[in-house]
Amino acid sequence: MYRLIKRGILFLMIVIPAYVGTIFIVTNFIPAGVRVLIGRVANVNFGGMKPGGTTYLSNKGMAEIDSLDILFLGSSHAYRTFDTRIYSELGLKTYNLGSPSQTPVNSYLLLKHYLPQKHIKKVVFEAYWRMFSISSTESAFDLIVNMPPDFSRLPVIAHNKNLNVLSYYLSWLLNVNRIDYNSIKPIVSPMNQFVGGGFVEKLRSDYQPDFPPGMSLKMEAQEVQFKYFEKIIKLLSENDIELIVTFQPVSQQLLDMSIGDEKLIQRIEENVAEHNLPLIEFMDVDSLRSTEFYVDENHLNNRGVRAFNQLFIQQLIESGAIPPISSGTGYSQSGNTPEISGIF
Amino acid sequence: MIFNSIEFIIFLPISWLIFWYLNGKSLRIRNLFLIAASYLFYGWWDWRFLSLIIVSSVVDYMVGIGLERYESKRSRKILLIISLLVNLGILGFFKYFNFFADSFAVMMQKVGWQVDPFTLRIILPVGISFYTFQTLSYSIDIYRKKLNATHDIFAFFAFVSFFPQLVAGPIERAKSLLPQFFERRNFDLERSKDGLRQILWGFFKKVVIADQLAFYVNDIFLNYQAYDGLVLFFGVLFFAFQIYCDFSGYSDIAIGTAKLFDFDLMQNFNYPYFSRNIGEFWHRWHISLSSWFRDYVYIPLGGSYVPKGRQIFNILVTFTVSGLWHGANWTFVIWGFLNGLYYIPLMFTKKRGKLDTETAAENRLLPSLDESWKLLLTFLFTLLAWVFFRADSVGQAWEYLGRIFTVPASSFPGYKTPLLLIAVLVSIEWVQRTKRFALDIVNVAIAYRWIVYTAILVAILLFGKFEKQAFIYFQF
Repeated sequence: MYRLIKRGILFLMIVIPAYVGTIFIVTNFIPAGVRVLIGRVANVNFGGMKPGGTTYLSNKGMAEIDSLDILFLGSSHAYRTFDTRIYSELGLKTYNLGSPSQTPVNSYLLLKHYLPQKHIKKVVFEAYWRMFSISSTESAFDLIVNMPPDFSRLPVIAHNKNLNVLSYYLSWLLNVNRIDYNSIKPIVSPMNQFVGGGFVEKLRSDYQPDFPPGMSLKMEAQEVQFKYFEKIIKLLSENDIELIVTFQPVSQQLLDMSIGDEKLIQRIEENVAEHNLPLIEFMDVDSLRSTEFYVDENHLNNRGVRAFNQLFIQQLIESGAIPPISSGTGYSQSGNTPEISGIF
Repeated sequence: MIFNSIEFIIFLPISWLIFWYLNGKSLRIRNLFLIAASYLFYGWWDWRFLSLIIVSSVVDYMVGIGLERYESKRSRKILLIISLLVNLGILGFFKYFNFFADSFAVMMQKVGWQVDPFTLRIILPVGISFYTFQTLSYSIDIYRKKLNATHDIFAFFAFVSFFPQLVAGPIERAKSLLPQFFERRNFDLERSKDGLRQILWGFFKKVVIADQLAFYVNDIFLNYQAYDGLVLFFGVLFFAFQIYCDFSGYSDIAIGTAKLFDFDLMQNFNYPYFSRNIGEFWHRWHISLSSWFRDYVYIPLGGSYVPKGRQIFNILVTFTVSGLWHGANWTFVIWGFLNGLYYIPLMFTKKRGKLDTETAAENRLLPSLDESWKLLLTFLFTLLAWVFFRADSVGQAWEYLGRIFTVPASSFPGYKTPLLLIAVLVSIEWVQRTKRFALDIVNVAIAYRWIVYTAILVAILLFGKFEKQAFIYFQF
């Protein structure tokens, strides 16, 4: 028995350097084409993720903030929708920490990282239900690349409990040609602009749904995401921070493409109700259903963003989450036409 | 707990150390520990369903003792019926209640009666089909006087719940597994190393191949109406290897884990895709289930010692019931029936499908032209049946098959990754096809062996998907 244990330990002592060494070699010495193929099988983009840079810029912006009236969290549905300029016009200090495919696991990690440093009054958590049915790998990769240069990356690895995340982290760490993120400019691309405050704008482009509809996805709950959603609720409650949960508007096509979404949505609603939390739903708002408000099946264009934020602010006021806005600000409460003046 | 989880990686060495410590002390305490460890392993998923395992164990333990005690035919028959009713009752309720209720309502509607199906929200307990069949075989074997009942309740409970094979087999027979709980196990270094090799290979098949292929299979089957025939063909090809690597991977991990505790489990897969006819395929695929149905369904029906017409009936019934065992859906029933149909032509050949050599291309690197044709044909027939196995409904399966043959491909799909994975697997398994499992390289020099082990483990760490993908056969 002892011989087997000894051999097992010896084997691990060989395997660990072999594993790290393989990552180092693939990351730095293998031609890009082959690396892409290997990366596809490994679910790891060796050599570092192609930087969108928005999460990096968002973290950088967050570092300069001390206190906030509202912090927005969630997936791309959050960072492409909550335009912090609108809230700033209304005298509210807000910041958008949404990031690509941000799952509850990674929203929780961002909260854990920033809560001790900032004074935050409210958190608006954008609960895109599909984020409750996927693994956190993509989002974890994004955070590894873009988190502040301290130990904040390590919890991302520890909480995601996924070897692909560890492999990606090692690949990023061992990449001798790592991208200098300080060189990233605020404007990422003409159609995809980081405009500050964590908001990423997509300029208006009328969306034409494909016909026949795109590929479907079967949505099944990932228990770990629900567990971390509960942890977010608990963490905010312990810190006396008000939490507002919201379902963002999405195109009809996105709803048509999903199988099993109803169950996920229902479960999130039940969790929210269980904790007596306010839930603001925009999924079924007809005035935001038109394709003229979207750039693709997932995201609002700048026109949709204006329309949505006006309605969202109305809802916040009606629910008493923020005080009524006095006249003279750029936001209009009357009429059905979604419009915010004085900003664009 | 599933094998490809952090929990199991922690659970296995701890239980292994405690087992070998207790093995030298007392058999009863060792078996009690095995029961506790197995219940922890199962209860990690949902502890409430442990009650079903306990009920099944208690009933068959008592029935076994009763069958030994009573000599009268009538009493023995009643006892056997109790075992059948309890085990098949549990299975029927949890697995088939809604299926039969729905099917009954549909049948009534077809004859013009409007019936609202009465269905229940029932969770399917993991592994229920496996342990109920295992305990059932115990009672049947005692009834047939092929086995003596055990009076050691701890050994019997440990036999029913033995964690390596509890949730997805191999479905063991009491005759071979139960006596192993009566004896002190002997630690054997070579045997343990063999077990670790088999575990390593099982993990490779599961997390590197099956879970990678799952991504493509799920997409193609879900969106089959948007794809052309060639993509759909690849969809079923990938599924054939996904289910093979998933299930045989599980069996390898189970058998390897049992070896670490010095227990022998039966071989469950023997390179099934290298079969030259459908008979050989069923001797190589899920061997523990095929032999269970042979012994407890096909032979009691009369087997092959009856006129040809009755033989055909027996074959069709056996395969159809085995299809139903896999799941409460008509797709599985048709899959089983189809395999029965494939088998019938063999009954009219001289040798009834028996082959001259144990393996394809025996003592040669490549198969002959004749063998290649047989290998290909058998594989294509199994592919056809897999469409029904994987589809969500019979309608979907027909439509899927129809599209394969009627929607021409516009271009060759870019499936480099899955095709590469399949090529790697088939090459390794072909070279090793005479061995018990593909990583059986005990005769190779130690330096080369360690290089291979390291490469495979690094491949698992780098290429594995670690998103808690359950094994497909858990649902059965």
